Amino acid sequence: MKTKKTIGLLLAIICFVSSCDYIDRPYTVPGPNGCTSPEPDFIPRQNPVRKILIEDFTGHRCGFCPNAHNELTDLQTQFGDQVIGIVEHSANNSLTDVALPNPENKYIYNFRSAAAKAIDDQFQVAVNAIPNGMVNRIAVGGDVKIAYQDWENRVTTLLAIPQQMDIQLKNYWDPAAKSVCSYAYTQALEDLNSNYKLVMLLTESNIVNWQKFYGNTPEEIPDYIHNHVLRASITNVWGVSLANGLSMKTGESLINGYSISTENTDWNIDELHVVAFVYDATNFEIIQAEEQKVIP
Amino acid sequence: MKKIFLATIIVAFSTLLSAQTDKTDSTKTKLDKKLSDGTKEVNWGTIHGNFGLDAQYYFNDSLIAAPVVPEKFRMNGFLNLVYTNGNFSAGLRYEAYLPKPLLGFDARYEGQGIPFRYASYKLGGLEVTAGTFYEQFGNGLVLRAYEERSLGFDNFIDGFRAKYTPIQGITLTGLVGKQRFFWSWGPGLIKGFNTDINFADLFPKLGEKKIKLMVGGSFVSKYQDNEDIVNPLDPNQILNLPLNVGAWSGRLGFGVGRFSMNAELAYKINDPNRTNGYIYKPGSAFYFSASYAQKGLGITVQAKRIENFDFRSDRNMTGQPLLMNFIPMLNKQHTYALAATIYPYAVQTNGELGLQADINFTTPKWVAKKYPTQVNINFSMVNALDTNITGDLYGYRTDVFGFGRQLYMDANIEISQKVSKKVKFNLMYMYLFIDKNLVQGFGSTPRPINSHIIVADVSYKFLPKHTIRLEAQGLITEQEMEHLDDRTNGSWVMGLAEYTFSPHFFVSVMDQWNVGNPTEDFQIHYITGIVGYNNGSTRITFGYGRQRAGIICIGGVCRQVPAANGFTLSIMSSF
Repeated sequence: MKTKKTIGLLLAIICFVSSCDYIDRPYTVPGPNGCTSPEPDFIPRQNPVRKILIEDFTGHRCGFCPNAHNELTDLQTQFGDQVIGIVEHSANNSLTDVALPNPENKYIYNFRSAAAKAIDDQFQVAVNAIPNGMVNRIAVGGDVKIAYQDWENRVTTLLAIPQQMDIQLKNYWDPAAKSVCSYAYTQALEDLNSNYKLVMLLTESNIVNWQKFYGNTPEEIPDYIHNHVLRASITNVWGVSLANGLSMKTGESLINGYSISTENTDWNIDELHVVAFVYDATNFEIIQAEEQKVIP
Repeated sequence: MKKIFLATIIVAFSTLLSAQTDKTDSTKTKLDKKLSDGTKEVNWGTIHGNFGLDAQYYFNDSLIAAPVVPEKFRMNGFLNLVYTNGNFSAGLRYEAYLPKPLLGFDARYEGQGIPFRYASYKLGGLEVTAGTFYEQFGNGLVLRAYEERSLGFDNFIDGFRAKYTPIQGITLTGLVGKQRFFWSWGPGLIKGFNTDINFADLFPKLGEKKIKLMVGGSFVSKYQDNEDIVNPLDPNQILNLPLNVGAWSGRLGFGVGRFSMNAELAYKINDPNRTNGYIYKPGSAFYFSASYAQKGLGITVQAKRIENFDFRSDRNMTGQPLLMNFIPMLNKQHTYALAATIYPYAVQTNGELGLQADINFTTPKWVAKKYPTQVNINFSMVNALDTNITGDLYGYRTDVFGFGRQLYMDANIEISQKVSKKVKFNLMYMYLFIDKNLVQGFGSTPRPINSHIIVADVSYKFLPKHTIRLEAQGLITEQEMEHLDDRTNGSWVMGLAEYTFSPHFFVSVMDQWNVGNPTEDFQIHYITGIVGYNNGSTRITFGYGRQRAGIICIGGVCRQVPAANGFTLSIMSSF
């Protein structure tokens, strides 16, 4: 009987130990292709400016959320293209739910996206309460969330910080392949010694659909204009490492191109924008952002 | 998948095979007792449990940047019930987070239900559990499933576990299951095997000579389905992922007389995951602790080295969920508010080197015969690893004994003195260094903060059963002019007054004031008042006040807490 015990235990242990998959270099297999359009030329800007990304977590059945939309619009009026907005309908808040069909067909449009959910899973913004947002994904006092009333102060503070990087974008639309190809030119304006990642996202503006708006008459607006709605991520939502995660010297530049298919979507190509930003992978803080229409 | 199934069957089979041979009449469960009149008294078993509720009513408070809570009211509550009858036990826990979890707790807990339920049976040396369970192998370096309610942390395993003790001194544990992920389970399957051998139990003569010797070994593996993850260094490639990731550890415990030590070494194979940036470098962890104790003196020295050892049952998860292991914290767990909550240390599961020395002593009788002084001196420091980035997916290489950037240092002395039957006091001084960005995950840009913390705590029993306690604390640090929008910046002072009417009532008022914040608007008073009632195992507290935004850490595991303003109600009870 002792032999049986020993054999049984040994078999169990061997089985457990064999449950290990050692992977050797190069650690990868071929994947989907990147951008197929020819790589364009970029000319370094003479007077680049720092640009700030505001992420507005919202929902079409959230009656307070248009206040945040309006704040974003006001800030873009005040600061021009130095403020870039993304409006994220995460699937982590019931106010973004698509209502069941009803006689008036309210709120049946699905604004939510996998990219918005992935971002919210990480930062836990919409899951707590909306409207709520992030400005350059910078945490203050341990909290990355920031109420829209405080966006202006945060933007003003961040715009005063010296610019570390510049980003330029050039986009190409292939109607036959129904594909957007976007190239990002990133240039270090100072020595960058952390692991920086480039993220490219697709947003759409001028989507006319239902929105609840407390204080407005009527409170339920059938033809509300939804702007900057996050549709999808062109890169991985957490981006790709610049310079293989190694440091970049002042003046050093890179060009990265990525594509995304619009096949089987209801996106209006004339209203699509590419939003690109670079962030420090160690703390998620965004150091520069840029936005460019797909079809200028 | 076949491999896992086979492993499960073999472990279960081998354990049961071994157990069957030990089944004797003496281990049969006697559920009923025969009375003197010949009738049987039915043993219905016993039920015990505990209940807890934390509720808060929120007010808007833009000054402290408290998030707006449209529903105003939120609560976290639970009820544990455990039924035992002889060798059988079963339990469940109902949890409710209504309408949403309290601010600062993970919003994915929203809802109510019974996530925790199990049944367990002991037969001779075999104990089998089906359902949910908590478990720890050794110091937890390769497996620790536990609950820390105040952090909202719960990573129990749902599956099967068998523990077998063939002879006194040897324990074998095998388990298979999935981890809790809020109201469902994580995607990874966990398999674990552990052996503990206590030689003092095997050889009683060792015990007679006050010699303790324990050895143990663990193996834990997780399986997760394949998926397409783009190579972060080249978007035209996807990662070749290890579906089965194994980790193992060996440990040794030794004690003789007043001296004891405990060491554990663990290793993990390539485990590309979100927390390490999907690199393929293997991980390792080393933990060492030695202590000496005699009457009036206790000395403990500890060390650890952790390299790429964040181990989860979902390779894409960050934060608290689905952690499979636990890295012990080698820093003093402070109890005074400014020392514990302004700059707490968060364990760096992917790389740190830590040391701690702790000395407790009581002054000898010839110094103070009636009321000896108790002194605690503690020093701890943590550095990052000294790494060289390889530039490919391997990640980095390290020097085993190389110290990287300093992350944290805590040097403190605490003196406790009873002056008379009515008066006693505690004094504490602490020097603290922290690289706030690195330790608390705000960035790689250095943000070193040096601070000095002073605490005076006096309690005075002015009448039998009536005690008043006063606490004054100060945290002195330089203002960070480059972080003007940080509501935790510069020096703090704190005062607390507490009145206790034993054994049932207490009331306290506390004010934390960020007096040195360079932004004048942020020189905020965080005032809190609490009234409490204790009766046996029941404790009820009701309070009102402001909660400061920050980080709460317990055992080095942390959660972020947003600012809040409102009424709080807490009820804890057990039966």
